[in-house]
Order: sequence, then structure tokens, then C-alpha cells
Amino acid sequence: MDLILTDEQRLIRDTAARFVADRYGLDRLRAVEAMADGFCPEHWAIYAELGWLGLAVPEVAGGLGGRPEDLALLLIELGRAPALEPFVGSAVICGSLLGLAGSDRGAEVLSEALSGKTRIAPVDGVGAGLGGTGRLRLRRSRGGFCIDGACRIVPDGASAPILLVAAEDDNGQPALVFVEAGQPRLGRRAYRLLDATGAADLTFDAVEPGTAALLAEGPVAARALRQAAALATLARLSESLGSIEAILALSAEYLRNREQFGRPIGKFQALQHMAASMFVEAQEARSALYHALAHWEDGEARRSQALATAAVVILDAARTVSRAGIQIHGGYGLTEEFAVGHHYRRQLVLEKLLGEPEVQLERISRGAAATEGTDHG
Amino acid sequence: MQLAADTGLSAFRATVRDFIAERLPPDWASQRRRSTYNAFKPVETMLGWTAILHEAGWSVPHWPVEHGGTGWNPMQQFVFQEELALADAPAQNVQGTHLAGPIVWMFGSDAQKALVLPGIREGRECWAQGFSEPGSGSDLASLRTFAERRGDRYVVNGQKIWTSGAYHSHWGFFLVRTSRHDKPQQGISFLLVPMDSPGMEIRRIPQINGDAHLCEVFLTDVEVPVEYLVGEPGRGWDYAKALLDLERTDSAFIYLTKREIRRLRRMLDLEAEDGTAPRALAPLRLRVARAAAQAAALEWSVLRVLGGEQQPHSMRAVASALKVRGAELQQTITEIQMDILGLKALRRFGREEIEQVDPATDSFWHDEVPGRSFSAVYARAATIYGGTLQVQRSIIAKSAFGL
Repeated sequence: MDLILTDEQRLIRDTAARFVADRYGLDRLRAVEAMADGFCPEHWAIYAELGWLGLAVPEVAGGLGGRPEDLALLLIELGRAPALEPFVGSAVICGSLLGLAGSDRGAEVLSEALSGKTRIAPVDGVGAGLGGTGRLRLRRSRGGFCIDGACRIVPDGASAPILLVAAEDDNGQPALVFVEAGQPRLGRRAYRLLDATGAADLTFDAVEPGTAALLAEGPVAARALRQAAALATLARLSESLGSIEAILALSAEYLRNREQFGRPIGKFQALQHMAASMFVEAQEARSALYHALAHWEDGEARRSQALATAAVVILDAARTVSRAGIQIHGGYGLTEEFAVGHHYRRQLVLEKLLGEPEVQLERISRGAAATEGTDHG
Repeated sequence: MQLAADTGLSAFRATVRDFIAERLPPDWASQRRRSTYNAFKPVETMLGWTAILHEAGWSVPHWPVEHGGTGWNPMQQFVFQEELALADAPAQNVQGTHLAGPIVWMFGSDAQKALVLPGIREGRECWAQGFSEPGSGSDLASLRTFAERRGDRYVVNGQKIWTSGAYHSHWGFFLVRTSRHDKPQQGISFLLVPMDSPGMEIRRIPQINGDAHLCEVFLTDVEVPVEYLVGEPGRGWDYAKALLDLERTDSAFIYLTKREIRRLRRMLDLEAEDGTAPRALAPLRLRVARAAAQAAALEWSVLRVLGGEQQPHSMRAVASALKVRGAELQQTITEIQMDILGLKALRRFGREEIEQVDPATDSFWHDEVPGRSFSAVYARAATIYGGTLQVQRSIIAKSAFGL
């Protein structure tokens, strides 16, 4: 265990912090929200330029092969904005899937994605926990493959040029297939989520992507999906933590500056204690993320337990802190003109994508017996 | 940053575990397992266990090596304490090992070190803390017990309260006023007092958990040699604060809390197996899962401090956050334990009854029934002692946010 950041990690953190400071002031945040699908192409080019799009991709596949700690540090900073680009879907989930499951077409798409030329949205039709909900089936047909079914609330599903679809084959095994956005018989109904990011309901009516589109199937695909889901959870929890810490800072500043009854409202003990409770929650949220990182290499069962454990603490903290943040800001907390309300909505989106604390508790409860034990070695 | 455990720790853990398995008397462990979370501390086992640890050179691992410490790194210290707790080893007399001892080796004279440290280290002498007074609880600096210098002695008059274990202690360390100033924190001194000094009167306070560990101490013309005053007169408040900085992770009670999380899982299993009183345990399992998650996070809050993480906030705020969550968690966990037991939680277990329970003959009264309810009752103290929950929150607001 080493809590000191390496030079590389410091660079990631500081660069990301600068990006957020320069690019995500409240005005810019609102500007990004107003863009089509809550997505800023200019930002995406910066993500590519800084190498962030390859952070979750193994080195052998052309990425940076970052450690999970590196990814967490980046996402904490992006969460402070909160940044709205579909980074987790395209760079984390699809980046890791493409890094683990190889094919010629896969390598081609990955290289375009790493350079920021294209963007990929994951479409989870097998309940792998990537976000979105629905069932997709893949049948083998004379021409190659054929996908049927519907997947709803797919983040970035409205505008990503390429979809990376997880569907169940005839043997009940997952398969990973590329689908171009313009494919015939692919229906997309686009809408916005609470935080202004884009999503879509996708319908597949015998969509035939062609044989070259198959990326992986069977156990290889299943393993890649589990890895991608774990990374996505880690990334979203890190974003949530960054947002929690940002709300804390915004609220403390407001408490110091807002005056009522002739003095800063932070002089009132009721509000001081509210801020103190938020502080405790934020401290514990960060510690919970460290817990998850500490068990990353301890096998899949232990890792998913640790992630669910972290999720309970972070999501509980996110609820407490984001609600208290609005309460402290009073009426202004309900306006678009203060960042705290943007964070509140972003936290709601992250929570639903991750699964509520109650869902995480079920996971812990089911897995507890299997992974009982202390341990730092 | 790299958060996976160091592989070298496993071997260290095994060494500690083996030692405990070999040397911890089983009846002491059983007594501890069935007793109140953090209150039941018979002097025989406290000192006896310290004496056994001393034989291995492990009775005060956190002290400087020249005073008998082990020189272990913070992670080894953590693992050591964790293993002690998980094995249900008796509590040590922390007033000696973690409070009086460090105060003396930090600020005491050589004569005081020679007088005091061996008795603590070897498990021969028990210590009590005399800080609070009836009129000075959260507002500790208003304390009024006065030590008047007369020649080579201090003559002490006043009254202390909540002095844990005063009745079985050999020594007390007292905060007393040695001069009067405008600022209440000034003029307070740190005084070592033999508990059998003439003029000391001790009254045990019956507690709602059936115990009487907390005491009132009345001091009437108690004479103490001037050389028992630690460091400089009037600096007692600073020394007490330095002590808090030294032991800032202790208030999280993480070791006991990890043990109690394990107990929760065991209790769920025992209740699920016990066919005599079938109950719906699913909601309780979820509460256990949440408490376990909070404990896992708290553990990392402790490790972050021990590992020297650069935190953007003041360490006082960080330490108070540990205390807040640690105290709340003790209460949460002990309450869930009672709820798991349901009706069984109602039975009152005095000292004698605790020993009488025999699960082999009646699984209804299983091994994890005795002690749980009084633990939950006594856990109400966790948000009161050592700075109340509200005092901690005020500290956080001030030191983290400048409010």
C-alpha cells in the first residue's frame, strides 16, 4: 500500500483539474448542457489529445494500460465539474472491451476511438451491468448474424456513430458485435437524461451487422464484459466521489459568504453541523473507493464485493451530501445558476446507472458468505 | 498511489496470530467475547494480558523503541491490534498504555519515566484518567480542581467524574489547575497521583448496563510531590492536545468494530439455524451489509491517516470525522445485534449469568446472546465520551471550513 501519488498520477490529476477549471465553469457547464446530446466535440478532442481515451485500454492494444487507481484519479477530477461527456461508455467500457477482445475490425475501431475520430456506445442486452436495460438476442443467419430485441435508456445511444452490442446467442452465451449507427432496421428514439446527457431507446428488428462485426463470443466475451462492468462501476463511483467533494466545497463557500440576520449563515450551528456531517460522508466516501481499489486484484468475487461495498457508502454519501448541498443554498440551489443543482442531477443519473444502495446491499448480502475474511495480507 | 496490501504483512499477521493462539487463555477470550463491547475490563485480565504480551516485547508496540516499543511500521501496528481484537484478547489498560505512558515519555522527566513506564509496560500498574469534573464536561477547560503548591508538595482539592476504573487503579493522571488566569486553558497542569494517597475518596457509579466502572473521585487535601507534575506547570492543556494528535486514529475503534461485524454475521447464522424461534432475517441482513460497508470504509479512513496520506483538510477535522463515524457505527452495530436477537435481547445478563450460558445444552441461548444488549445500552456513551458528537461536529466545521 502506498498513498503517495506517482509523478504520472500527479500529472493525470493536475491536468484533469486544470481541464475542469478551464473548461467547466458554470457558464461552460450550462453551454455543454445546451449542446446536442449534452456532448461537446471540442472537449472530446482534448480527451483524446491528453490520452485519457486510452487510459482503460491495455498497452498491447494501443492504450495507456493505466492502473485502476489512475482511472479513479481522473474520474474524481472529471466528477468535480461534473463533466458530461460519455467518457465511461466509450473510453472505459468500450475501450476495455476492445482491449480484451480482439478482432481486425475491433483494432480498427479502437484506433479510431483512441484518436477521438469516433465514439462508441455500449449497448448492454445481456444484463451485464453496463447501464441501460433490455434483452437482445443474436441469431446466426445465412448472411452472418441477426440481432433482435430492445435496449432502453442507453447512454450516448442517440448519437454515438458506433454501437458495441452485447447480445445473447442461441446457446445463452454473450456475444459482442459492432453495429453501425445507420444500420437498416435499427430504431433509435433519442431523449435527454436528467443531467442533460443524451440517451436512447434502441430497437433491433433483425439487424444484420455482417460477419466482420463479431468481436467476441462465449467465455471470452463474458469475461471481458465482467471486467468492463467492474471498471465502469469504479469509474462512476469515482465520478460520484468527485462530485461529492465538489458539492462540499461549494457549500462551504456559500456558508462563508451568504449573509442573513447580519452574519454569514455559516455562523449558525445548525448549518455548521450539517456541513460537518457532509464532511464525514465525503471522507468515508473516499475511503470506500480506496477499499474497492485495494481489493481490485483479489479475484472477481472479492472485487465485486468490494465494489458493492464502496457503492453503498458512496451512494449513501451522494444522497446525503447532494440533498444537503441544495438545502444550504436555499432557493438558489434549485436554479440552473448555481452548480450545486447540476451536481444533484448528475448524482441521480450516476446512482441509477450504478444501481441504488439497496441494490448494492443485496449484492453484498448475497456474496458475504462466499468472501468472508479480513485482510490486508 | 497503489492500494493493494503489501504481501509481507501476511507473514507478520501469521506470527502475531500464532502467538495469540498459544498464549491467550481461552477463558479470558470467552469472557471477553460474552462481555460488553467496550466496557467490561477486569483489572486482572487487563494487566495479566499486558504482562503476557510484555514477555514477547509486544505490550506497548507503539512506544518509542527506547521505552519498550517494537519499531513496527503503522501497518504492522494495525495488523497487531486487529488480530488482538479478532481473537477476543482482553482489553489493555489504555489509560496507561495509550495515555499516561505517552504523556510521560513525551513530556516527563527521566525520573518520571523510570517511575512510571516499567509498571505500565510490564502490566503491573493500572492507570485512571482524571479529566472531567461535574461542572466541566464538554467545557473541560473550565475545570476547577486546584493543586496548590506548598513547599515540595502540591495539595490538591476538587472532584473528578467519569474516571474509568479508578477503584482498581494504582495511579491516576489528573488535569488540575495550578494557577488562575484569564484564559481558562492556561494554568492547567498534568499531575500524576497515586490513587491510594490519603484524602482520595472513590465512589463507583452504577451504570445502566449493570456495570459500575465509571467513578467519581473526591480529592480532599491530597498531597502529591512536586516532582509528579509532568513537564512545565501550566502546560497541561497543550500536553493533552499533543496526546490527541498522537492517538488520532484510536477513536475510530476500528478493531473492535471489525470484530463486531464478524459477530453480526455469526449471529445471523446462529439465528437462522435456531429452529426454536424462526424469524424473518432478510431485512436484518441488509442492515448488516450496510454496517459492514461503513466499517470497511472507516477502516480505510484509519489506514489513510496511518499511511500518511496528504489530505486537503486539517488533521483535526479528519480525526473528528473518524471519531464521529466510529462512534455512530458502534451504536448502529450493537443495535442491529439486539434486533437480530429479537426477544432474546430482553434477558438481563449479569456477570454470573454470562458464564452460565451453555449453548451445548440449549441452542436457544447461544454463545452470542450474553452481553449484546448491555453492549448496545453502553454504546450510547460512544457519542458522549472523548468529546461529544456535537463537539466533534463543531470542531469539523471550524477546522475544515473555517466556519
